[in-house]
Amino acid sequence: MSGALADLARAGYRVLDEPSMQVVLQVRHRVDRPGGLAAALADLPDRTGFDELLCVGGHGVGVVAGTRTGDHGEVGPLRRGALDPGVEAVFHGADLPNLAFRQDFPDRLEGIVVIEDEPKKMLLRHGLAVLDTLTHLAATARAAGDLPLLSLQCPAQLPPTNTYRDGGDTGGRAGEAARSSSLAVRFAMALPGPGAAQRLPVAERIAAYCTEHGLGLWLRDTRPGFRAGNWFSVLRHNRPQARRRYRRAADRARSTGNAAEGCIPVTLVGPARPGSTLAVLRFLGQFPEIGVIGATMLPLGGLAFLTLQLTVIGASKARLFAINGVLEGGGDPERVLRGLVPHLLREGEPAPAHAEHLGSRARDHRIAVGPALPVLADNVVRRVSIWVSWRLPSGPDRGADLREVVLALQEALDALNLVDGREVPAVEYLVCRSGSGRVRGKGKIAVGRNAADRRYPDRTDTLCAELVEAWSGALDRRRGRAVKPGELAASEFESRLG
Amino acid sequence: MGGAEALQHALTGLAVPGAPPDTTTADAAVGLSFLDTALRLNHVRRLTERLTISDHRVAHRSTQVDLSLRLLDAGQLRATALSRELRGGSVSWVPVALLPRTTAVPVDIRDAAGTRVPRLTEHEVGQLVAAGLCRLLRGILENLPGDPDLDRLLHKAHEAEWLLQLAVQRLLTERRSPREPRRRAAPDGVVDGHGAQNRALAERVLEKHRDGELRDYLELLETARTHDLVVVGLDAGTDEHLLTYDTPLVVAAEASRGRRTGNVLRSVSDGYGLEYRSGISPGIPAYHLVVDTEPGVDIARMYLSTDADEAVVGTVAPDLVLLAERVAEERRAPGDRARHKILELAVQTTLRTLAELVRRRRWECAQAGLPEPDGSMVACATLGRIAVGGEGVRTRAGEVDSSILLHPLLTPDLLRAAAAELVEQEVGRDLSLENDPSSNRAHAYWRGPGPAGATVGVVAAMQLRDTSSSGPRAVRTYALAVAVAGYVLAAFLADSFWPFGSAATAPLSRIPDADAVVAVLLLVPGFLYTRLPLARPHTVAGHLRALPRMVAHCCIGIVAMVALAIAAALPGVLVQVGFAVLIVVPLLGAAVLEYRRRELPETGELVRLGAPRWVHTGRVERARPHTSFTSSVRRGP
Repeated sequence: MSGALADLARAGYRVLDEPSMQVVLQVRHRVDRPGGLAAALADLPDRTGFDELLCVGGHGVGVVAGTRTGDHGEVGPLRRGALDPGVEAVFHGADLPNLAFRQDFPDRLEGIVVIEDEPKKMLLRHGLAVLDTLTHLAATARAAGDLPLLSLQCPAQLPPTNTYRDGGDTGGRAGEAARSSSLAVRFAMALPGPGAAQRLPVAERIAAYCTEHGLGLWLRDTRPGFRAGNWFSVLRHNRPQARRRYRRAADRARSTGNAAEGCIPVTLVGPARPGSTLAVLRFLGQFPEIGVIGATMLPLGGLAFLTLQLTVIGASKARLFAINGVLEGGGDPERVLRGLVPHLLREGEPAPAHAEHLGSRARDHRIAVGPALPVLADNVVRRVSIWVSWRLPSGPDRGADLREVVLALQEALDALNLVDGREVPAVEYLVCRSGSGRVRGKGKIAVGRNAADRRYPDRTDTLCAELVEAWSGALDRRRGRAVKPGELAASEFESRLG
Repeated sequence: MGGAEALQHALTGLAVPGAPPDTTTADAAVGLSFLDTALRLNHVRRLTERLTISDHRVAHRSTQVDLSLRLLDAGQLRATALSRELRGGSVSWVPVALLPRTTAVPVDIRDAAGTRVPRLTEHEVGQLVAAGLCRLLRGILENLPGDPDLDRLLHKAHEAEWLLQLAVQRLLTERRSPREPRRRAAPDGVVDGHGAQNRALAERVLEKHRDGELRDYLELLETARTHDLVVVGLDAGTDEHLLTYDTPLVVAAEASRGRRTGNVLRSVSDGYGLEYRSGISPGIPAYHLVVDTEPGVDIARMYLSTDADEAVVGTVAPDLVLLAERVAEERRAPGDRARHKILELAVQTTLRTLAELVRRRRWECAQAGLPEPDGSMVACATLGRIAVGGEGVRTRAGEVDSSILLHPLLTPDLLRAAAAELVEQEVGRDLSLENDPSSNRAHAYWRGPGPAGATVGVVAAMQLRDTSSSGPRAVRTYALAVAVAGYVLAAFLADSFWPFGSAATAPLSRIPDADAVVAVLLLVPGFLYTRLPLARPHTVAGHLRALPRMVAHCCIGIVAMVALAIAAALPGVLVQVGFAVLIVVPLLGAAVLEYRRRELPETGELVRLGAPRWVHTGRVERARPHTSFTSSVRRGP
């Protein structure tokens, strides 16, 4: 228990050590372009970088969220910065972190729920399934003892497929990495204790939901000797059943098509506390025509960031443009979300009646909305994933350290020339944290299979080794000091990161 | 009393202040950083405890701490730099220990050269920690979901918040524990005024969140309240520091008279049992215990055991019981695929964890040169083999299925038996043996790390023995000599080889030169008695030689009684009885000293001493130690 107490003391010290107890934050919603993260970071002057950073991309929408502890900011509704309104929106603000929130719960349940294994395009029913699944996961965490959800991510990479080449002989087992991103929800939730008595009911509750909906389920392999990125298959995805489950709801107005052609990214930020994600999801769940095709929830700097890509049905370019013209941000999150609903429905459809209110646990959150963006399918090109991680000592300016690592990574990717036509390596997921004198991070980069095969035919490990070498070289040049062996790592498989 | 109760009691006893406590943000940051460092002790490379047993129930403990300031992380180093301002000067203030407030004995810290190292006073540290905890409380309350009481406390009723802060400050700076105040009924016509309303508001907020968001905070407050942070000034330019300090030991209450007598009677065969209990902070990677005894007393055997794996057993044992039920249920009525797979994962996880435990215990035995402990962990070892064996079964289709649930040896009964074994055989306790030759100094090591975030409990027990067996042997010889002398004297006086018959009664009632006989009786055994190696009674050696001393005292006492009988010219029958006792009792005493308990195998002796039961196959009754010392100092909450 003294570990938790020391963490609490440290959380207090970290904010008191700075000129301000506030956490300054920035959220960017943008069209997901390769190199966008590096471009966003490159412009930041010294001492204004992020201590902690989250970057996710999916369905053509990219979100970057960063926090910096200790600067003075304006606590209140997020302020929208002036950027291209139809392509990118940036929101600035500040909040007070929840010092009592524990980010590193020792007892946790992690898993991946498969929503659709090979979607050709995003449909409303996918959005409904994702929203339902997210809500169920959040409700499960709440039911397990009002413990917090620690992370949510959709889309996510599915676990590697194990195959037996030689009938089960030694060495015959081979893992083949799945495509870099699939329509799946990866989650982590705290458990009240380490035992099976705490774990089994929670896992079975999620499994029962997946069985009922035909969704595939993997759980983090908890056996000694296994680590993050090792998954244990619990349920195979039942595609016909999963599709049947939501067809009726999504087909109500089929005359105009049920494809989710557009989406509006919405980010809610507030003190990390159990139940806040569930409050938001339940509020959205009362509108049967609203789906969520992408979601990310992660605490950064004591603040919980919940990003949702809300589907816009019948989203022509003209309509998206029109929506962008009237989107409002900031203010009371419940009022903003209610105001958003008519934009998400088919054009001309009246907003449904609703009675639910946003619960008290999320009512004080800040909200960032828009811009409305077209949804791009992630599965047109086959992409492989390269997982990267780093753990480096930090100097007095943690933001600069973090920025240099990311910029060096981008430089290394550029140097490897993994471009194939319009297919350029892109950061799909990246989270950076700092503390205890170190900056550390982990990310996933999607590389076009053709580009990878062209330069490294069937040798992804060579690609990873050269990426680390190029990354180290770029970081050495940028920082002026050598990177020690093992401080940077890259692998095709998450579980094999150093 | 916990942190919440202490705070509640303090709230009741303090007047509502008109201003917040006078603290600075820098003080608060340093205070919280001190707490963080003291709870982690991540800069301690090794902890050495030296225990010197000087007398029975008397020991002295010296603690040596190897510090490396380089192991402090960047935040802690920054706080250390910030702390230089506290008293000016160039020294950096670094927490080196967290000692419970159970003693008023001052703790002096000395460096490797023996020079006293400057230390912040408890009041100074209390002020810093109080400042930090006041700010931390505000930081936590500000982020709780809003409710009317909380909003009032934070934004309108400032006196209520200041009262909370004042209570925290008083608790941490004054070394007193508040008592639950007596509630009294308000006299007629008296209602709650401004102060009472503010107090009630603070109490309501505390009560509402004490088991929720404030739970960890209140535990931290309790830790800070009941412990002293030892913060010393060190030269930040030097990385490695070796610090030493002495702290008192708590000795267990004296055993009952009956037990003490039993201990005396067994002291020759069992030796002197001594137990020491302590705790190690979770971050400390290495622990070294050195025990010294007084000259003439050897440490015959010694073990050191920690409860570093108790948390694992605390999880695995109930899991095994639960999984036994689930496996039985699954075999009786197979569930759906998801339940089956979840159960498979849970069983594999639990059994592999169990296998790790069993492996560690076996390797500890191998290291100590003890036989394999399989006999005491039959079910655990079987399940461990199933878990790590990687075996499978052939399905009807002829394929190999590696599901552990299909393994024929895996049965619910076996799972339950393993759960019982884990607890009964104390598998959660590890073992480290002193394997140096017997001498009056012994060492034992433990290498961490222990379980994350938990203090590691340490138990060391040792069996002390007389350096040589000369004590009992000399007394045995002495007793035989007294018996022989008594018989020879009686035979001479009675002028018969059988001085106890009726014919001898008359000569013994009329001893012609009684003075000379009395002189012989007192001088010869008395002279021999003075040559006996009998140690002082309150020393450990004195306890080890308690039985020989008792025999010697009996012998000399009986000699004196016979001398008195002769000097007083008592009737011959009584003199005969006296001589009979003078012969029989020393002979019995010599026989008692000759007695030796049949020794168990080494593993059994260790368990008898208190080592975990898994070491030995079979039931062994534990011997109660003669003395049990407990660390009054826990290096962690």
